[in-house]
Amino acid sequence: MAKILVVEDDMILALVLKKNLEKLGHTVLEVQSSGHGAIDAVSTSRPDLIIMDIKLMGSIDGIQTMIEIRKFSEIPVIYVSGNSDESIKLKAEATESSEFMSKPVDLFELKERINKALELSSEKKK
Amino acid sequence: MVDTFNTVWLDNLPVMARVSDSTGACVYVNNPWQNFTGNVLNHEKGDGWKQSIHPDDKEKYLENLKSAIKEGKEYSFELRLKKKNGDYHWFVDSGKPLYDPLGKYVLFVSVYTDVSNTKKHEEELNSSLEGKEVLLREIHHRVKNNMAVVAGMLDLHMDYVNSPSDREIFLACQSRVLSMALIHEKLYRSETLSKINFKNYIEDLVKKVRASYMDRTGSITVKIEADNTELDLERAMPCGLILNELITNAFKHAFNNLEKGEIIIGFFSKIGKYTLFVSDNGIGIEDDSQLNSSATLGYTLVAALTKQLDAMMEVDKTKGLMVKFTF
Repeated sequence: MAKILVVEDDMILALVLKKNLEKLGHTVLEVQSSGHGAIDAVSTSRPDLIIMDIKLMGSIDGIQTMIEIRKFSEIPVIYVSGNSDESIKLKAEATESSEFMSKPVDLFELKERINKALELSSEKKK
Repeated sequence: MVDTFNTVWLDNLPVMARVSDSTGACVYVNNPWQNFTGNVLNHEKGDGWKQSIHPDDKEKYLENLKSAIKEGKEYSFELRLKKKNGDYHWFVDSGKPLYDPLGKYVLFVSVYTDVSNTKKHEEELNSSLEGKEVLLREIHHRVKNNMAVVAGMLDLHMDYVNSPSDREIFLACQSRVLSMALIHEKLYRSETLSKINFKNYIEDLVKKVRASYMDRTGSITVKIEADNTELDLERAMPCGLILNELITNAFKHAFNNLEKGEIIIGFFSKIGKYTLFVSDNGIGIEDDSQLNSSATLGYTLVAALTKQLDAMMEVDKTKGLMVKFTF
């Protein structure tokens, strides 16, 4: 099971996500609400996977945060967004090793996406 | 070609006018034209007048004008013309062919009406409408997100509920909130912001309800028979809630002790009338009183929403259960 970093600016939705991830057997290392907080957490906590909202607190959004993280890590990311416009999806895809889900999160879909992201990530490492 | 009599009345017109011959070459521009452009008659003759046309309008306007003159047809085109101070004004150019006493087409008179103020108001109106559209889209987005938070809180609350029947109540509430949130999600993505493709909504709703009752839906197939009719917000919301109740009910109760089952959801419109139905090939119900029972909130809601839709509800128990609404 994976160690997960949740990046979400809505703390209620973050709690629900944390609960559901734990229900799936994963460990939520921490919840961050800003891009800069997420960048620091990836360096210090070394999670296996990030679940990232696109709209975040602070000056950078989820996609810009991943662009920064990609400079030092290939960690897989699952974007979870309230806005699933094609232009946003395309920008998200460009950050590599990514999956995209719309809010509200469907637990079954989340489980599938996490498995897929983790499998792809371990194949990459081989 | 344009005699003195004609130049006098042309010059006294309260609007700008230009006269061209049957080849399209300019032969006269009246005083209001010369005053506006700051160009004298000799400069404007032939092709000189074309220098006053806005570069962005030039190609299309001249092409349209050329074909109107060639065919000797009346026309009305919009274009921008340059004033002597360098500003551009919007005009409507209305043109008409003139014939000699023998019926030969000899001249073309074009009258230019300044519509800059109307254009400005039109642009302001469009910009204000665009602003309102953005705002409305954002409101639907936020309503949907807030409903997702409400559903999330119900989800969290469920951890503190021990009784399975109480948990069912929370789950049902959550499902109702999410079925409403989905309408707002579809609305903010729709072009009109007032109508949604209901087939698309049904597909997503089925996925959500199935996910909520994942443990009981494995062997149940769902078939959607719907056309691409769009439904307005006023009807989409009650229809969505009715569907949520009936689909949930079918998943939960229709196939008790059966190995597999099928749910068919139909939605179509014909001559201004909508038909919505949910049918299953499950164990059915014993009598209609179950459907009219006020003991279950689900059917109380269905009855209330049927009234809200001003719909007729029909129940067919021949094979499994079919509930049909016409409105």
